[in-house]
Amino acid sequence: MTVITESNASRPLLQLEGVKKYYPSRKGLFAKGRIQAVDGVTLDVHAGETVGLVGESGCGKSTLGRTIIRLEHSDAGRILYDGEEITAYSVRRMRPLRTQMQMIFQDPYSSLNPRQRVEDILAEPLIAHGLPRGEDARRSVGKLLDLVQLPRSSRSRYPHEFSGGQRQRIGIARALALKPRLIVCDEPVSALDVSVQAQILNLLKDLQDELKLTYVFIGHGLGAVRYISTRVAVMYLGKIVELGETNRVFDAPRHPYTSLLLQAIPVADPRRRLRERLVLQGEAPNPENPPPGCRFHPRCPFARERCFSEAPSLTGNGHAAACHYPLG
Amino acid sequence: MSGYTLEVENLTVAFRTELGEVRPVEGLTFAVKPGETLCIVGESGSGKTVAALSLLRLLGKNGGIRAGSVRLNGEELTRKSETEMRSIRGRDIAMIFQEPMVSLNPVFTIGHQLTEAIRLHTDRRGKAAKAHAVEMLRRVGIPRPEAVYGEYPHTLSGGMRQRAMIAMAVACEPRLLIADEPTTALDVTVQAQILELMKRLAAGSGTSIVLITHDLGVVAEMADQVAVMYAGQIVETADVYSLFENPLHPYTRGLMRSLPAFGSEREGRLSAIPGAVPPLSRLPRGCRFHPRCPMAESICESEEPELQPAEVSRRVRCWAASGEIRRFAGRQGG
Ligand SMILES: Nc1ncnc2c1ncn2[C@@H]1O[C@H](COP(=O)(O)OP(=O)(O)OP(=O)(O)O)[C@@H](O)[C@H]1O
Ligand SMILES: Nc1ncnc2c1ncn2[C@@H]1O[C@H](COP(=O)(O)OP(=O)(O)OP(=O)(O)O)[C@@H](O)[C@H]1O
Ligand code: SF4
Ligand SMILES: [Mg+2]
Ligand SMILES: [Mg+2]
Repeated sequence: MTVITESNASRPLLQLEGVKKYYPSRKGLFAKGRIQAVDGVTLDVHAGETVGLVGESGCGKSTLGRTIIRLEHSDAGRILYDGEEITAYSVRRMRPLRTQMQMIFQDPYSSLNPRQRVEDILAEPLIAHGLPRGEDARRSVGKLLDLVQLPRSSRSRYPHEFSGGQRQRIGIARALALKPRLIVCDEPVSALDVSVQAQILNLLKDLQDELKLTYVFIGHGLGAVRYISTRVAVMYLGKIVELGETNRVFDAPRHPYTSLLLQAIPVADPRRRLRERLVLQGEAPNPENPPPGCRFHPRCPFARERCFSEAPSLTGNGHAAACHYPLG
Repeated sequence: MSGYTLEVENLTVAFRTELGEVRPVEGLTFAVKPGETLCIVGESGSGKTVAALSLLRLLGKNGGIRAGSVRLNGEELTRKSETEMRSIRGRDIAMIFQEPMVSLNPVFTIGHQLTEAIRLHTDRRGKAAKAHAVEMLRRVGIPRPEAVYGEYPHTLSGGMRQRAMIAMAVACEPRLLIADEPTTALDVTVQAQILELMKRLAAGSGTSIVLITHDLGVVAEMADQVAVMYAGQIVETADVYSLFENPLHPYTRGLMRSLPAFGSEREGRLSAIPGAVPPLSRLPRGCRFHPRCPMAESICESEEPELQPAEVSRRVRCWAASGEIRRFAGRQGG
């Protein structure tokens, strides 16, 4: 099912319908295991909004991010970009759309070539797509540096000469080079200090307003996700279990997993440390062999008979939860 | 007896590098009582890890303690021989390292390494040692602890390794636990389990904890005392309640303000501290924070402030904050 908020009833920029991505597991020669990294995700992303993607490590956030912009093939489902079905597009047919979808990574250092100067890093995507060369490329590089608020003198320096926050600015500039409409930000601030996180989050927001960008923002720092997202999708073991406007999801979670996740966040106020809270027990189950029924039932404090066998679907208008017994 | 498990006084650490000597930690002073948790916070590169390693004298060939004193239950550690230090590590002081692979040996099973440590540092033997090891794995939230006991480190995920290492550090109920970003790589749900475990250790065994983190949420949950570090120095120390209620140092204030407050709306901007921590080779004159400081006065550019007593049991290294406090005290006096 599709969740549409009233304010955004026009055609979504990106539509996912039942998207699945499985990986073969590397168990043994004859084992036919497969990891259900993304298992039936339906989600609309509207132009100009930021959809936050949260959930514990291994739940499939990065895989979904890569699949959305077709850096990976999906194994089932449909992906529509601006109304056009791109699910099975070849690399060549994707080419003109490539420029419109970009990704920013967590570790700006390992994603930047250490032997390239900043200007070459930034000009490379332009050249690869037959966009301006020579003097025009130079000018574009200058503009990109301005956009991410790095001094123009940075152009002739190498990545290692920059701090973590500055390197993330370079990563952002590179993602902006081709004037994309959609950017998947995969934990772009998780490796940075809070003070620098704030600089980058502010920058991402300014760029969004200025360039009318659409973000899918993956993060495990829930403070940052709340700050930047218009809507939030909570993932558990390859599925979206809750989806809604940011404040509603954070203030009145409907899925038990979301509630436990939020209660686990340390609050930066020592007077609240003795608050009553439930602690989620155990670890996420194996995505090769997810539990039957509701995938969360082995760890859910509210699970009943029905949860053991029947998988709940994502339902609810505006603020959806995949739970037989939602909270609130 | 002083009543403190750990007393650090004026500790300065130096490294020899190609560019000459650098001092990533300078004039560190703090103390931790039994059962108390001291959190050290500060941005990347501020010297937190170096400070922790120096307490254990694990600074490598190029580094060493240049000045100052480290006392464990009143005993001076800076003058101990390497052999003496080796028996102190693991038994009296356990450390959880920022990088988990460093401290797990790839050729032995998790269980072997755990029982070794337990046998070496406690009086548990044989079955009792094994049972304790499995129990510790269970307590750090490792599923199937009996099975994991027989597995090798490389078969575990990063989060599981980190937890195995935490199990190893706390299994021997050390007097002092130094934990360097123990949960930074973990999910918040796992983090909550680990923090709970550390709290119980402090309350139950009276272990003192030095917890290094840059997460102010973790500080608020865990700390009794807090030391804020900037560019190798402590810039502010206070009990956790005073620090969050009324941070005195402009750097601490900046850190608190740049936090995306959890209740905050999407509107508005975060207040970021401009710039970045200076490299050790190019520390500014005067106050090390002055180039980024919104409260800087002219004296800050030329003279280095000392860590001054502020209120009861608080200290702050800042000309402007000290001035503010003096003016306030003056008004109060008449
Ligand atoms: N290229 C791959 N080959 C095989 N398995 C993979 C691959 N990429 C991801 N996986 C598996 O798919 C699942 C989802 O991984 P993914 O990286 O998407 O999670 P994530 O939510 O981004 O986690 P994290 O928060 O740790 O980044 C995991 O079980 C992972 O081991
Ligand atoms: N062996 C060494 N030789 C020379 N300099 C070193 C050495 N180890 C650390 N340093 C320097 O000491 C400073 C402090 O580093 P440290 O690792 O203590 O920072 P940190 O506060 O732990 O940062 P992070 O939050 O990133 O872990 C850095 O400038 C670092 O480059
Ligand atoms: S469906 Fe049942 S098991 Fe799943 S989250 Fe809801 S209550 Fe818990
Ligand atoms: Mg990921
Ligand atoms: Mg460190």
